[in-house]
Amino acid sequence: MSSSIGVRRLQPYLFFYPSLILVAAVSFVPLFYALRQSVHSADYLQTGGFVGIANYVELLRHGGGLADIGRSIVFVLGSLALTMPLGIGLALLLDRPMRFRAILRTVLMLPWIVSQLVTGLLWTWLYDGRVGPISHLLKQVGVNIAGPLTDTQWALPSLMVTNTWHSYPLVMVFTLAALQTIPAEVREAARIDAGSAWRRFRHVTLPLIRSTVLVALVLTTLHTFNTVTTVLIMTGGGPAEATQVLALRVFKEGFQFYRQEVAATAAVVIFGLNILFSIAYIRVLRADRG
Amino acid sequence: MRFGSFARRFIAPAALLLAAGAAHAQKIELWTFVGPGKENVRERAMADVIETFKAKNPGIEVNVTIMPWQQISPALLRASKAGQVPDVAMLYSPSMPAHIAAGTLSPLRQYLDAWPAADRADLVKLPETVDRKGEPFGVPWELRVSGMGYRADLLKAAGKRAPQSIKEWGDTAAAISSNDIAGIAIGFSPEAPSVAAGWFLTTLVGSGVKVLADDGKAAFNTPQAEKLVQWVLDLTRNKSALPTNVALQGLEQAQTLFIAQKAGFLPQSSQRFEFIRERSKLGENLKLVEYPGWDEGKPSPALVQSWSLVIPKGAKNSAAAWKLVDHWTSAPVQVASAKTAGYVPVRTSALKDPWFSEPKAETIRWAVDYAGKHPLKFDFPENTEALYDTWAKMFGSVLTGKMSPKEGLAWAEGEYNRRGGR
Repeated sequence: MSSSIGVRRLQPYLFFYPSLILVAAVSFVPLFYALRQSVHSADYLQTGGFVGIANYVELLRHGGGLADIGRSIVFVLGSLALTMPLGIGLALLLDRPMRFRAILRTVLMLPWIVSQLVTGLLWTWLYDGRVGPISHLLKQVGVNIAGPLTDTQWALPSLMVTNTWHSYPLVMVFTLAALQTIPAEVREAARIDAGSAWRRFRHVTLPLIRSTVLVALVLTTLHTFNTVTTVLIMTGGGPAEATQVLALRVFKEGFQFYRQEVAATAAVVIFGLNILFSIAYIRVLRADRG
Repeated sequence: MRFGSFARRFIAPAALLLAAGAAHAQKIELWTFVGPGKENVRERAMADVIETFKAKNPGIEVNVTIMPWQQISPALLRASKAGQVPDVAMLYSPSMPAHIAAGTLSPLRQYLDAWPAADRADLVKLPETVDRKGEPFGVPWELRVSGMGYRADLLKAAGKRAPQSIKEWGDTAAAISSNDIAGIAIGFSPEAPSVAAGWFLTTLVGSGVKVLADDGKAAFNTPQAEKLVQWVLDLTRNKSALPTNVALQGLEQAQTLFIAQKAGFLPQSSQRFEFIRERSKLGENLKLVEYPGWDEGKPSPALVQSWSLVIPKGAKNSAAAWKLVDHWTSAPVQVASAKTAGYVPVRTSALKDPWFSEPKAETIRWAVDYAGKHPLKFDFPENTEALYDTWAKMFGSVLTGKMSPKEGLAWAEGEYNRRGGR
């Protein structure tokens, strides 16, 4: 009897602690390792002496870190500006009864299951100024474009479009799931009372799905801040550093140039930016609820 | 029963059996970017190496771990830190100096000294595989020589010969180019700058200037380098000779352009040309020529790179690992690999095989001839990728009009030195 009570008491801990240990091993340990590395010097993988904030000063003052942060923020905001309306819009479309809805839903989900590597290779070919179909089609209608990925003005917006193509299904699925939880009578009441479709969406639908959309917004933000593969494959940070974002910097410093201290410092900065953006979103959500 | 008698009867035979079993089960771990298989020529060549090794060494098993070629160097560095290294690994020559500096590799002097003098002399030596004291840390198992592929049909139609100088190269590229055909397909993107930066390096060295000072600091901000960067810039201003959108791409896009028969010249590494010939269906119209220098008839030195076999420090079965290295780099295996996959052999004696006189071996003969006549004398830095990345960024800034060639070179020199060569 007493032993079964003991097991029952232990049960939550038996479920909780293995998960905690696993999460700590794969998330917290590398994070603390990066934090520690960012305040130490390094020689390849050998950690050197404590240097305080010297690595941060070097990254931000001389290493082009500020410009990289600026590009990362522009890349994230630009991607969100395209991804969120597209994902929500498509979810609203798929929420309506229509023919071939199941097929359309599957097709629209496809970009999500394509790896970033394949996405990068596919869009590099699409954008190619000489053998790519986009420039070929534009030429047919009299628009000569030399190749957006090799143009300092167009390279980053082109990456935003690619990132949007890869990211919108996540927003679409989240939003669609939230839309389908709205009771039919609420929809009916809104249809009668709220007037235009835009007014119905703004005053009835959006408040009801806001929390879910915000979760999708946070996830898309984190995903975009941490995007390396597509940028690495499509531009490598060029031309003239026009697409050098901070996540790419982490990868290159760590795995190409073996400057672990710089990679760790940039990684910690990205982590800080992710936290800042997430806090801002949560505050918006709380303010709305209040 | 006394203990001595017991030991003689039971323990000693059991120990012998255990030792025999252990010797039979000896296993070496190999990290490679291509595994044994039947899918393509590289896999078949690899399968042949492993099978012939196992036939020669029946007590040794080879466990193959395949990973993308770019991942081997960082993975080996991490494995070294974790104490979980393989027994043998392939390393690309530009990555060797970083590993030598990081102390992840075992010196191979004791093994190489055990070879007969003729075998040592027969093996091609690469500066990247030794440290500054001359201690060897890797043995190349294949070679690749950078050079220039060109469309013989386009040159013939324009009444041009294969270019003998940089100026002639630019003129010919302009002559064969059109709205649909780029004269030269070379990409300076930081995404994959190795071919373009390698060409820049050999041409600079060929023009007689130092690229790096003796202390490893950048010394490439010279009038000769400025002239070369200006030449590239001028080519892009003649839009078809080297379109800016081609010059700012990576090497794969440049290669794709050539395969699509939309470019006249393609600087590239020798091991790729057979693939390009097959894919582009150019056949005999794809020819190779050395990188031209500034003076007519004096080509730039040949950039030779290799995949080397290394034994990481802390390898559990280094003696067995060396047996694999020894086998792989032996003349018969080198000949077999050349025949199967077109690899350039690392032993000069291998070239005596009659197969190398056949038309199939034309690219190999060209590569060996170029490397033998015009060797590149350059001490590669600890991290060649950092040097190449800096140059790629510099070309990006110059070709997009953000900097003049002089400003670009000054920036690149300062940037490379600020980063301490990494």
